[in-house]
Amino acid sequence: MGGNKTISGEWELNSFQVGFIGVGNMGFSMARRLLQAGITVMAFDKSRSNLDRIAEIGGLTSHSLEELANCCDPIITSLPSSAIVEEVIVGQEGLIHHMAPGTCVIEMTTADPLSTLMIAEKLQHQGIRMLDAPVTGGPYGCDAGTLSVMVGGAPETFEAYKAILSAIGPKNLNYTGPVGSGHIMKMINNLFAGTGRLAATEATLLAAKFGMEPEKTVEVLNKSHGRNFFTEVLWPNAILKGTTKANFTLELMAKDVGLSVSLGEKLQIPLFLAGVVQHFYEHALLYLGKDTDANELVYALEEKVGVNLRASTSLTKS
Amino acid sequence: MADVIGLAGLEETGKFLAGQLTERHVPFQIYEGDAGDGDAPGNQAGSLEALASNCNLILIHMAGLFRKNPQDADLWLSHIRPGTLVVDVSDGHPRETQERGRKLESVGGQLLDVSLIGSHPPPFEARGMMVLAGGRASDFARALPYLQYFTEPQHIYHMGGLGSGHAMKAVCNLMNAYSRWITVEGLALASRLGMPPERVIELVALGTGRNYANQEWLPRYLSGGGGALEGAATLGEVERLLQTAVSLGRELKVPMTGAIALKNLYQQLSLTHGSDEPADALMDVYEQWAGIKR
Repeated sequence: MGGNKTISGEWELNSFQVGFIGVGNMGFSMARRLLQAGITVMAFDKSRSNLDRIAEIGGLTSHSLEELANCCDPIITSLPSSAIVEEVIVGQEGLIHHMAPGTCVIEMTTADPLSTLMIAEKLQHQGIRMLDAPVTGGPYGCDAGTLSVMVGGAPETFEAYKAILSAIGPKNLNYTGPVGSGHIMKMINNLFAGTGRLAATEATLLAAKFGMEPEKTVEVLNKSHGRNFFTEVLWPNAILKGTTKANFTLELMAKDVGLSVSLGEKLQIPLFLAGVVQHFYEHALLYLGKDTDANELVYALEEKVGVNLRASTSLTKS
Repeated sequence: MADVIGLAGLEETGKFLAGQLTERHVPFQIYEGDAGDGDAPGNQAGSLEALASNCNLILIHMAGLFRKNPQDADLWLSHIRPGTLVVDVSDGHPRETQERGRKLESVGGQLLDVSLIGSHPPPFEARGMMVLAGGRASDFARALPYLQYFTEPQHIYHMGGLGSGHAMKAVCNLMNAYSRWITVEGLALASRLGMPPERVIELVALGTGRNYANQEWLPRYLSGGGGALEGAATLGEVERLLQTAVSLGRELKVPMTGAIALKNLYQQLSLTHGSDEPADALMDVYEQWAGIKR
């Protein structure tokens, strides 16, 4: 199975039949991009309504992992957690029992890298290949074609399925190294991001409460060693303008930072600050609700602290 | 009437300013304090009191000069002539700065707090340093011609009322301390999982995890260039600036969950390594946790 190449060596996208397990919000957006690229997609999901949505945009649907494994290569998984990924791929009824040697699983969940390595090893024993390819950018980025995909796996496997992954993330497809490295990079990036967001929140609230203008504070931070992605991009373009949607929930934030913390525990690395950041988001979601958008947290704190980061004032730079 | 400039306890910064003032034929006196080597150009003032009597725009490193005996600062302020502007070019606590400002005002003077941010030692020649000032707008305007000796005008900011320059420096330092510590934790984890730090840096640059530490400080460190924490070259200085941010947060009722943890982490590092050790000692933590020795 897999795809065919043209005489000039290009992959024929319509020669692939891709299995897609988990077509919720993120999975649906990715599957839709594949369909838009002319790739046949057969989806599997526990939710009937998710399958109906895929069928509405031209996708095929399947009711068993066995059927999917017999028809498709590669099979993409985009699931809520590593525990579910393990069940679907290497569990008692998992894909491993049905996929043919030489075929490939592309695992796109934000997952525990150690779990990924365990799954890859088991698949390898059966001659089944694996790429781990988590994404950043959310459904919005996916629809806009700006999704960032970080791919770990054997170089030849990456080459064989690069066309599929390019259809999902055409602008930011990054090969990270051996299998597992994609998930490691996603986890580390999210650890830095969760911490960076908290840092920017505390710093700008403190400065505002002291009486400094938020725009000027952010401008100074961005010209100094205080800058990060949030002060450079999110604060000027969203927080200071009052945009409510980061398209990232507090629950996901806590979960993603928590991945690093639990892995640190397994590897006996005392990730003290990461633990504090995780607890901060866990407390926040208890108060605000797990589906609360991460930007809302800043606004909720703004209110409690008694400042308004959105109160626009002109710069009075010398 | 033109200002007569006084420089006190500014060490390398004072020497630089003295050179600038000499070039421009601006009258000034300098007092280097106990740490001075007496080789700064210009007229040496015999004492701080003499400087206060002779000058009406004084740039001074108050935190450094009065660290041992803070009460001496109040005594010195009482010698200031009415109409004098004192520019405190140090990293004092904003509340102490405001208190000094009130005392100075009671004798007819004014205070402007100025924090300098740049690499250490200060890159005056490159003119890339940031100058953050707090105080009255008119006092800022009066000091501005001299602040421009340090850097380009676009890098000079009037942050707000008295104490704002010092507060903003603490805020910048807080952000940097966050970036550095989490970079070390993340890199240790990545290294133990077999990801080379150089590759992590490269990939993080593309995403939401990028920050000053993983994009500029760490690459310099990994290439052997080191790179002292700008404006706070020792563990003790980082800890002190974090303490400033945390205490302000406590007083102003701004939740500082992570900042408190960071302050404690740096405090611990200062205790185990020594507060005078370079802030880069943090990389020892990374090497220990990652199980590597560079």
